[in-house]
Amino acid sequence: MENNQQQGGSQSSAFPAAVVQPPYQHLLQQQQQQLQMFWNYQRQEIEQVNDFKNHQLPLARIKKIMKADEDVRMISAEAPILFAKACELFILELTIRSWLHAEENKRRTLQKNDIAAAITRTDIFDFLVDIVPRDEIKDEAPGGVPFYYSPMGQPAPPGVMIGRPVLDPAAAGVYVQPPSQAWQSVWQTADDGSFGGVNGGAGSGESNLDSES
Amino acid sequence: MAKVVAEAEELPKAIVKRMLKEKLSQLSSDGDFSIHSEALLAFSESARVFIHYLSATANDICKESKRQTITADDVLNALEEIEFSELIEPLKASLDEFRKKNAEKKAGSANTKQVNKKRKAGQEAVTENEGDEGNKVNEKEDNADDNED
Repeated sequence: MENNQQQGGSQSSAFPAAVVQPPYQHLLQQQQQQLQMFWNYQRQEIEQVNDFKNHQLPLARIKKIMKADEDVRMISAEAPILFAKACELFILELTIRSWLHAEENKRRTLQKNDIAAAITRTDIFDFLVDIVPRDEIKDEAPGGVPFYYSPMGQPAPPGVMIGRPVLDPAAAGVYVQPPSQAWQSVWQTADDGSFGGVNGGAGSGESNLDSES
Repeated sequence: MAKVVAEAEELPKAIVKRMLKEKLSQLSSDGDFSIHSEALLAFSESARVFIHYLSATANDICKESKRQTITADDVLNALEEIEFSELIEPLKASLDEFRKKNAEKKAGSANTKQVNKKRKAGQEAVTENEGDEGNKVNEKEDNADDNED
């Protein structure tokens, strides 16, 4: 059901017009969509590499933010440059994932709860869990994500997000480790057709997260 | 007047907004999108906390190596540590670009200095030949100095 909704709904131009398809076709379409998004990202990446000159985020400000931590003493000249870029890429990542959530709920306006959802869905964003609180659990598309993040592979009740699972590939069933870019893992989809299933595993087979000590 | 609470520095809203708009215009199939103001704030705050998180990790790595200054390598290693390894390659590319440009700049200004030195020597030779050392030499040297950065 959701599959059809997604197809008919706010999908990108990667989707062919046909709506009623055997499940096999649907998977192919999803792959196409994933690829399209992946390549969009790649293109973006390449553009960014050439674009370093316009340090969009002000280095002085970044330095100030870094130094707000008293523990941080001296910073090499190159470090703020890396930070500016890293920040930018981070924002872009967060944007992509937040937008996915908005699209799932057929909205064109990015809202705070989209960002909250992106944070909850992505392991490596655990450090943000208190920053953008998820006050209303509004997963309008049920069966979306929780499936990924429950230990033992059992689906968690909707709206309950478990931040730090051990992903069991057998149980999850869809965690495929791509040979090349870890980015591809962003575009994994669940069997139920939701393409919100992102896992932030960075290039390792199982993300056993201990990001906060 | 004692400052009780230090305000947290924020990233400039306009720049964050621009980044969002650029990305969203790519992501949305029909270019139709908008950003709630609370969402914009959430992005800025998230990015700020990301900076803290990354610099704290980089700082730890730096200290472990008994150094005082956070280097680019510390930052790259920190990214690995916090499982943002996907960012490492694009960042390395960016860093290389920066280092190249820096090197070019330095080479450029070094060349300029060389050229000016030669010019100076040449001018001095000319004025000596003319036998009018005094003012002319000084003038020319002054000009040469002006050209040097």
